[in-house]
Amino acid sequence: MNKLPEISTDDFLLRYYQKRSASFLLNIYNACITATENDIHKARVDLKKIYALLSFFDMLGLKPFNSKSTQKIFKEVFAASGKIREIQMNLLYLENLEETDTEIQLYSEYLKILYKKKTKRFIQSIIRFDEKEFKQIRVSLRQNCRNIKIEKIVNKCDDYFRLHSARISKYRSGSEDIVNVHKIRKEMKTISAIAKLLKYLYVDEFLEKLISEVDKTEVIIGEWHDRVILRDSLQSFMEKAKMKSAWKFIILEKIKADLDKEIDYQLAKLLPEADNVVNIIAQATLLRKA
Amino acid sequence: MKKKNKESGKKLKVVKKLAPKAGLAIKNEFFLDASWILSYLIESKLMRILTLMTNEHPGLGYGLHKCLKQIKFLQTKETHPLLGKHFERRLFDELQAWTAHRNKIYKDLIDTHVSLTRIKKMSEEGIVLYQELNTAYKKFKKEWTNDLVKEITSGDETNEQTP
Repeated sequence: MNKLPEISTDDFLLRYYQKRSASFLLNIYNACITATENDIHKARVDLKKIYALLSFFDMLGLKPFNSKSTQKIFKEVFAASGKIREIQMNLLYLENLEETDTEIQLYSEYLKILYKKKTKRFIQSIIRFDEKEFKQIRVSLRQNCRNIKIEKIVNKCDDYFRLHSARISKYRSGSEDIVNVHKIRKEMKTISAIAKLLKYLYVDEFLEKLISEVDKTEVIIGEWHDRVILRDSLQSFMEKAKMKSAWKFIILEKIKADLDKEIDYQLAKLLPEADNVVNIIAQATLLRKA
Repeated sequence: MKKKNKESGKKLKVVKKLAPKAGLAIKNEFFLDASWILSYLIESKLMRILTLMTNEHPGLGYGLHKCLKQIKFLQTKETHPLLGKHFERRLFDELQAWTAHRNKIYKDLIDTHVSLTRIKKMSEEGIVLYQELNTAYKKFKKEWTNDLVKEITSGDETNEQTP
């Protein structure tokens, strides 16, 4: 079942990084002009893959790599594009409601004004993005990415999965507040990124099962996250509006209450799924033998 | 007919390739170049709207200014309900103002020094307007296509009914 790529592991990782970085640059420049949901999403996906690759190298212990310090180069672009995407998702949710109430229109207008501001900020972040430093990563990768054995990668990945699943268990045993679930979401994303990257180099039953389970969880987490963002945005809008005038929001309060219910429902679905991921990682050796 | 399709396909590809080029120009602070590309992108989008509305390509004689004037005219005449539904009048007014502002900067470049901040601001405003136009166009196109499909299918149904 194990499948190794036809080219060497080092070459594969280098080529993968080059492809992702070229695609990221193209998509980010495109997104800065069009700012369509699709373009921004594509650019962010590329960036997430680059993040995964960097933390992969960090995990392998390649000397000059400290994924956190390297990720700083992208931080501003990632954050600025994320804000735009959040607004787009909120607007999409409102559009799907198909209601033309004044309150909703007012909130949509507020989001559109915010969108314009964030777009300008995104452009600034693109201008400030240091392409030289970005190219430098590739240079140091070329110098240091040598003689990486697949066995070493698999062992390191197993340790990595165990470490992050332990963290999930820790957050899971704590309270079910938003901060904790956000932390679980982050851990899940790192596991998913590394597992998907490893799949290109090595395939076994454990990995297949882990990826499918993480994917399932990520869909629910994504929906939960979108709703949390919208609820927070609604809350902040209503608070701002109330400070300026004695406006009473009836429809928006109702939407917020519905969102609260949806969030609770998603949470009830999400947490058992997170437990499943932890269980699969704990059974890794058993699954491998099978 | 076949040749025409190929040409429009080529043009679409060019437009798609131009957006990242404009982004690259912005990144490298070539704001003037970015504004040229943006003008072309806005113009081609407006041309597409006009083509859908009038069923024929306006031709090369239509520049950005003329396209805007024609679309505003069609909007006032209310020839197509979708035009008023998806595009705010304000957007075309702002696009016209942006075009005039852009032209003024181009003219000033010949006579005096134009600060980088002024050109940068103009390009940024162009991007925001293009994004707004693009979003509205997508919704407009979607509904326009749906209407067309409905029209065709309802036509088929009536044809089937009549012996």
